[in-house]
Amino acid sequence: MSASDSRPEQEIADLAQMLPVSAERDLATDRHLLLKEHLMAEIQAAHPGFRPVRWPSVRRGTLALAAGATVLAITVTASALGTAARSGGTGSGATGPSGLLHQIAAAAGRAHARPPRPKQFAYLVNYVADGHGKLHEKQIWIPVSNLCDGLTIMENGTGSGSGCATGPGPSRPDLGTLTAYPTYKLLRSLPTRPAALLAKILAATKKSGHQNLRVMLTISNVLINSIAPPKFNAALYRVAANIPGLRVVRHATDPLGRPGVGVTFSSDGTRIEWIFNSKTLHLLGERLTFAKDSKKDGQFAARGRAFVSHSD
Amino acid sequence: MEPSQYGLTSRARVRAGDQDAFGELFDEHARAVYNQGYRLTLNWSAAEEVVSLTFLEAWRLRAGIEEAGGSLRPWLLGISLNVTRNLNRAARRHQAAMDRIPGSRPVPDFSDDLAARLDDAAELRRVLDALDRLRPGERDVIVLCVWSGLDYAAAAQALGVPVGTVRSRLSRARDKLRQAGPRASTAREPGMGSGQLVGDREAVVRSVQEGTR
Repeated sequence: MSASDSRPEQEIADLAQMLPVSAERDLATDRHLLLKEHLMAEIQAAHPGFRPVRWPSVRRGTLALAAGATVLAITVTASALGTAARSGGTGSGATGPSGLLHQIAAAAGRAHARPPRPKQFAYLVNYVADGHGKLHEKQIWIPVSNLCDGLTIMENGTGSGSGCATGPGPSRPDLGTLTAYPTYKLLRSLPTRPAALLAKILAATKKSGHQNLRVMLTISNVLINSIAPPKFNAALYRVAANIPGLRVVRHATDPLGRPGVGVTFSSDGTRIEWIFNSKTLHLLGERLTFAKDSKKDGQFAARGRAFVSHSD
Repeated sequence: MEPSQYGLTSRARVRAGDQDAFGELFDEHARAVYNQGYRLTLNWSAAEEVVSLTFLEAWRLRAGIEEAGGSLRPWLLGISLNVTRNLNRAARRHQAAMDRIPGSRPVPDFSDDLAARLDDAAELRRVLDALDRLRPGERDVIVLCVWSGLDYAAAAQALGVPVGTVRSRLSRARDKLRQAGPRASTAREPGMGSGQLVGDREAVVRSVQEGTR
């Protein structure tokens, strides 16, 4: 072992001198294109281990419940550090929860919106807590326009998923629901005026129970389990802003430990906490606690989302 | 294409099986894979084969990409090293796909600098002979750090070893090559460069020549 104290650059320079190679050259343009075209054709044909799996009809109900119970978060683009963010972050003491949510809505509405193509999938990477509070990565693929195209949810490399539960066929596409995995197509079709949207949410959650809680759980579900058009996200926050029982937590951390500003909602022994990046005002994560049944407690953190292409 | 639509990196999109992202990956790194492939096989046609096989393998292995990290170049170059070393096995795995490459021969090289290229190849062969004196692990770090320009951390990532291992392998390789002296490339010492160390690369080249038909 000699020269062990030498710096990496020197070592590499020495070796380069001892082992000279000719300059790099480019793959000729035509060859580059040909090889790329071949590769792209092959990976499309290979149909990348993305297999829509049938979802037994009971499963949908289960997942819908689980999703409602676990609740969600959203990261939208790392775009404009808006001025609203500034006033939201520093002003959260002065601003009430409703004002903060309106600022959050404005930030969400400004997010980059490149509409997906109909055959794409919304792809989400989330972290979800198990029963012991340990976080696990969860990947979700949701067809943009029709759940009957197949829905695959993969967690820790193992898959579970859904196709069409019952009924809907090509003539009657299944767009998902606000309480399970809504498709982009469904969300795009819904109104963005808060009052009209609230009516839709109430109609989609006909179960008994505390009305405001139902609304907030449904909003949480959409934020976490879908990619919505920015205007729709903004509308969700505006609906939430009018719900009583909100508070601001000036210094909060999401389940992954990322600091931010929190908004909580408490009702009927249930507490929902959303945590937002205090600069961008994008949702980082969420905690859900049930006074009556702590087994249903949930934690959620969003890592990323995008529309991706798959052959079909 | 926005590289990070909704905050998702190219790395995450490739991992998710996004074909557009994979096409971008090819555009960005094919050249590096191609040149590394040539330097190990001394054959530009084989280097193209290495490019195709590396990206086919990368697609197959994409689920193993770690979530956190920067450029995928180290990962690709690591796959490429394995592909080059086991060209036959990789070609067999992707036989059907490889058979579908249209016009699998590049245009013959009639350019004026053909002689210069042959000189380059002869020089490179001497360099490879010198490398044959080293252990495979030592050669790998030289290929990645010295020729393909990865830093220690990236090479460690490509090979799946600790950074300290990369450092010590490079250091050992330099000492060995120094001891061999300036004529390291042509003079072969008895007892060194025998067995698998030599056989490895020659087997690769042989198999490439067979494989190209």
